[in-house]
Amino acid sequence: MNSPANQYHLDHANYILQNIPYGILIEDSKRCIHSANQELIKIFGMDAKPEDLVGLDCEVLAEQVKQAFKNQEYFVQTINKCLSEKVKSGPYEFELVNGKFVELNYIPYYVNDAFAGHSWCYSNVTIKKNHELEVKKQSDFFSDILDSLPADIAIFSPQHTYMFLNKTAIQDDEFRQWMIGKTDYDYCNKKNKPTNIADERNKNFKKVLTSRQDVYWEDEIIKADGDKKIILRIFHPYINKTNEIEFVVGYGIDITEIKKKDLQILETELKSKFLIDNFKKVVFTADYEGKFVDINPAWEKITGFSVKSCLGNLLTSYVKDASFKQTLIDFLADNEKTELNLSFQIKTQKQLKWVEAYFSKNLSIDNKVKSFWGTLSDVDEQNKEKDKLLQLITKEKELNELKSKFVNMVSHEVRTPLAGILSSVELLEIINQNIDASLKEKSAKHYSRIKDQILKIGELMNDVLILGKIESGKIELDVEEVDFVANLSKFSTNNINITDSNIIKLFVKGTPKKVKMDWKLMEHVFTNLLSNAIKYTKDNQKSPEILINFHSKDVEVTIKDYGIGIPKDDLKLLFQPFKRASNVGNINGTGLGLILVKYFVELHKGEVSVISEENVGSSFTVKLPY
Amino acid sequence: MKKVSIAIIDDNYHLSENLKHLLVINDYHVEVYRTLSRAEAELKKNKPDLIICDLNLPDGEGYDIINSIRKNTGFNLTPIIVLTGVLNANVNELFMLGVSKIFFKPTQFSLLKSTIEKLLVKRREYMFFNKPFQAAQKFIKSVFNKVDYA
Repeated sequence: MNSPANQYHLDHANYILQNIPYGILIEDSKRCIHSANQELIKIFGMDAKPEDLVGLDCEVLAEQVKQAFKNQEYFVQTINKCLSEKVKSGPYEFELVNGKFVELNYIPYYVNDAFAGHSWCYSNVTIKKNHELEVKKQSDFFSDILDSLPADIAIFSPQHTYMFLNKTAIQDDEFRQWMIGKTDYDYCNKKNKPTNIADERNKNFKKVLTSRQDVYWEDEIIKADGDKKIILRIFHPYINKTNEIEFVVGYGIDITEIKKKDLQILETELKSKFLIDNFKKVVFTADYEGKFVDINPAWEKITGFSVKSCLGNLLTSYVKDASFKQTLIDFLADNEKTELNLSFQIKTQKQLKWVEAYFSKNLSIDNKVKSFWGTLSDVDEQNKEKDKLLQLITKEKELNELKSKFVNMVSHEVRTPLAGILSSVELLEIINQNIDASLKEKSAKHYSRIKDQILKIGELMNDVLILGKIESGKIELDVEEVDFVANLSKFSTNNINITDSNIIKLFVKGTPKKVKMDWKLMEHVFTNLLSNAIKYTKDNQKSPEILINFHSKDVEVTIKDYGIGIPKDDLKLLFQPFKRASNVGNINGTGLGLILVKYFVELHKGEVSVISEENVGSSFTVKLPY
Repeated sequence: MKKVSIAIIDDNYHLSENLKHLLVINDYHVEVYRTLSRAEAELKKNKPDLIICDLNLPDGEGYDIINSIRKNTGFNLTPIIVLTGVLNANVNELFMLGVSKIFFKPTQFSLLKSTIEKLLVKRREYMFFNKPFQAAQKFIKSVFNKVDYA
């Protein structure tokens, strides 16, 4: 039986067994170890020689070897499975306790279809396994990154099948795994979605393949809750060194929010455009040279020139006044000024029109004037109206002046004849003294009435004249510092027709100061108040008094009399024209005096007040600020 | 005793004659001038004790004659009463020019009369106290003929 050829085969096989880099264990059909090699010993770190194992019961050995495995149960299961099936299987991968990885192949041996033994073939794959782990770690790292990106990322083969999908693209791990190698059509079928999504993607994919450039499009997705989601999708071809498209990266970014903001901005822009377009004023922007960049439609309405035909033209070419050009240049060059308000006439298709203009500079970051914008408003109609009004006012003024001249003239011209009449009456009175007593008494009454009436006309003339002046606006304050006390004390001797019987006492309180006022007007005020005080004081009553009180902020002048006083009901009518108290009797008065007093005092930003009691007296107080 | 003489400068015939009449009754000597030019010529001759003057006259303004009266040393102490219908007369200027009193027409004669009397009393007192001063003035004037003491 042992022919040399057979011997050779045997020896050779034995040699291979001992030198092959696989740990091999051969058993017979009765699970008795037939042979083992050195590598096997090495892999499991057994303290024995291969020959020592021969003849051992494999089940016993397996019980020992089991200890070397990290997952012993899996090892036992695998062995049992192999033994029961008795078909060639493997490789099975195990991790050992010492950190090595081994692969096991099971090879059964049949002679004439009868099971005749089997061999276990282990190989040490630690290096390979570690390498794989390393690679996996790296790929996990990158896929982690891809998964955590807030964008859908997918990588397609040039045939448009999925090679990779990140977690954002498909949440479900299993489904994601399923998608690999599938197409968008598969996706649509699986998810029961209309295929038009796939159609569009397919169309764009083809575009990428032909153009070899990025393709962008927006996908509108309606979510389960009805909200719209807008996704910007990009196909980016990866072109390798041999200039072929190796794969295509597809990514999608959720731009719903951005889009919303864009829409909002667009909306506000549209709104403001609507406003500007419908604004009655011309709104324009112009470059540094003053050429129109943009004008709103109001321009066409005002000038009649179409906006298009005017763009690029110089603003100055529409302005009538030639000096405007320099004004504009000065404005643009002046760093201090940022705004300019002016009015000028512009040329329109028909006639010149007045406009009111506002210019404002657009400054760049470095404060240089890049351009300017402004508004022009049509004030032509307004100006015409204004002119008309001005004409009317001028006319009115002329008339008023004429009136006041007339009043002036009349009052002067009437005064002299009045003086003549008065003197005649006075002469008559003297002549009258020589006639008999009964007549004398009667006529004396009439003479005195005539005299009173004449004096009243005189006073009336005076007040009418001043009132006329007030109405024609001719009264202007001519303010100077006045030594008030001195003036008021001089007063009694100069201005008022004071007789010896009514000497007026002047009292001063506080520190006298000079007061700023128009003495001419205030003199009239005090003359009026004082002559009233004298007038309404009967001969047997106490003389009026003047009290001047200098306060810290103002001066108070009180003219106090002990005369007939003013009835309560008449007090409120006091400062109205031609209103006189009911108890004045036949005392002369025009009913205009106090109006003038009030007016003049108010011109000085002062106040007049009155306290009065019938038959006790009145006191008028004028309060003037310093 | 010589009567006190009063000059009236007023162009209104009616008023000036009445006023003259009233003053004459009160024992004054009265001269009436209806124009500025006549007044200026006559006043120097007659040297009145008091002048009653209107402001609006046919040949000029009352201000002018008051001014020239005040510049004339022989006259510069004569009291002047302004009797006018011009209500907006420049009162301050008139007082500055030395006008003693301003009356606006129409004025009661009794007031005018009492004012005239007061002014004449004042003038007499003043003249009395100023006699030595006036003598000195005269002397100085004789030495420096051209000096003007307005």
